[in-house]
Amino acid sequence: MAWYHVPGNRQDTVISTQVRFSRNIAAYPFPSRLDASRAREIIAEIGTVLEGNGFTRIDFTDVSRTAAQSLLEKHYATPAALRESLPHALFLNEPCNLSAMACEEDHLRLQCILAGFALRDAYEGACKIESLLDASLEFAFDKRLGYLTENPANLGTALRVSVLLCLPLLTDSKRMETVSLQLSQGGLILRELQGDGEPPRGLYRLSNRVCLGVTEEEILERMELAVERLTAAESELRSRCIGADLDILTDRVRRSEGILRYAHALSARELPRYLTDLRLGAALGLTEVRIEALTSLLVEAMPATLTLSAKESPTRDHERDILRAALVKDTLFGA
Amino acid sequence: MLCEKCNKKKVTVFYRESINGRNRALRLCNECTDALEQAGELEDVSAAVAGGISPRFLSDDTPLPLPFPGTETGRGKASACKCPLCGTTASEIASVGRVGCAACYTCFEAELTPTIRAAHGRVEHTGRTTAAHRARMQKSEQVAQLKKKLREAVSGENYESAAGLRDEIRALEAQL
Repeated sequence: MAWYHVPGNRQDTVISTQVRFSRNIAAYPFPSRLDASRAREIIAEIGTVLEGNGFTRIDFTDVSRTAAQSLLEKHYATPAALRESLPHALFLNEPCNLSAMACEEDHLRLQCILAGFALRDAYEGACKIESLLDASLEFAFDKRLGYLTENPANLGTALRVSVLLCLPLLTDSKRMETVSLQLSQGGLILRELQGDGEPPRGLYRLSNRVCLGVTEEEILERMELAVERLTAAESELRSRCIGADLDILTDRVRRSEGILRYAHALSARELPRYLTDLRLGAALGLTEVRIEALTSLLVEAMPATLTLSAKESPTRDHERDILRAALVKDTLFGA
Repeated sequence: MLCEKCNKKKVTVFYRESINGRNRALRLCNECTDALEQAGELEDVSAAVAGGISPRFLSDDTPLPLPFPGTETGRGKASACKCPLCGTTASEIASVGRVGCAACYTCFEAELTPTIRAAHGRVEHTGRTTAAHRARMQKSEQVAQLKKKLREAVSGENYESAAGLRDEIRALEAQL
């Protein structure tokens, strides 16, 4: 069981919530100025605290490229972790929702990730791991600049909150700009997610851009307000969808469901689009598919994670596409 | 089709972004793409992390390195200076957008402050502090209180008491 298996709140519009703290140990320079042996010392110090508290350590130097990629797909690591040549490690708790990346960007990137909208719970989780480490390690901290980080964009609270949103009708209505008006004044940024060449499908990541000069509570409040506003606008459009509009939407959802039910092969690139359509469909009662299953597929159908869970490791995209289609059928439409 | 920016080279990158509801689309050549990325004006261009899935989908909203203004003009004075702890220079920080160590923030305060202010709007931290910092603040507070008592003791000619207080203050200050 991991975070993407556990049901969350408001999963019809919010896919996941992440709360992250960046921290550095005062006695060492930042990762860009570390050599391998000092990086290992830092990882060992962090391990001393976390491994005795229910966290398992995963060294990136010891795992295969596929396994590392899978950790990225599960949202525990960032693409930087795959490029990093310095020794770096991930510490993960048993429920797989609290993690600490050591020596990726900054000495520590502490994270709590939960499905659905769970800002306060995710914040509490991140604070728990932060306090645990604060009690034993001295963090680099300045009275004026707050927690010191490698990238000055992270200074201050060094808190980054981000929420993955599913807003397809709001996107289609072209009202996104109006609804997003006050976001930059609030120090927030809403980015649309898209693969190259894909048309917009209504997936967004909302995060805070500003970390310094605001308290953690202020960041959380602003995020809450913004999520409320965005999801309310989407929900309103959904509830007003009747008649011909509903027919068009029903057709879109049913076509996507049809593909997921019967396709022999599904690519990683096309899958998010169908899953978004089905998430909308489930919210409108147009499909029997469970929303929690859609979230778990967002991780489990990813290339590396899929490869690791297969009985015989697929080596080509085409083989993975077939496995993916089978996984989708099994997860969404049952055995 | 020619690059929108330089109008000379062929377009190889179709850049699209939607930030806070505002859409932007650019048709660029490789060189202009690199230049704009360096200047922090483009979001993560490298979309193909795993099967063409946007890296931001995979929870990467790591902020891009901040642009450091005025590094050309400041070059003469600032770049000679090295951080005493890690040896980083101001121009190294400016070119990668990353600071070398905690001491760099003190060493290069003048160069970094405008960038920090531009990114966050402010340069005064409010919010959580470390346990160590709280302990130090508490001790400073205690020292301030004891010093006040010391002044009262001295003005009240209570010299024995004053001597005891002075020793307490010295002990605490040694810990700070």
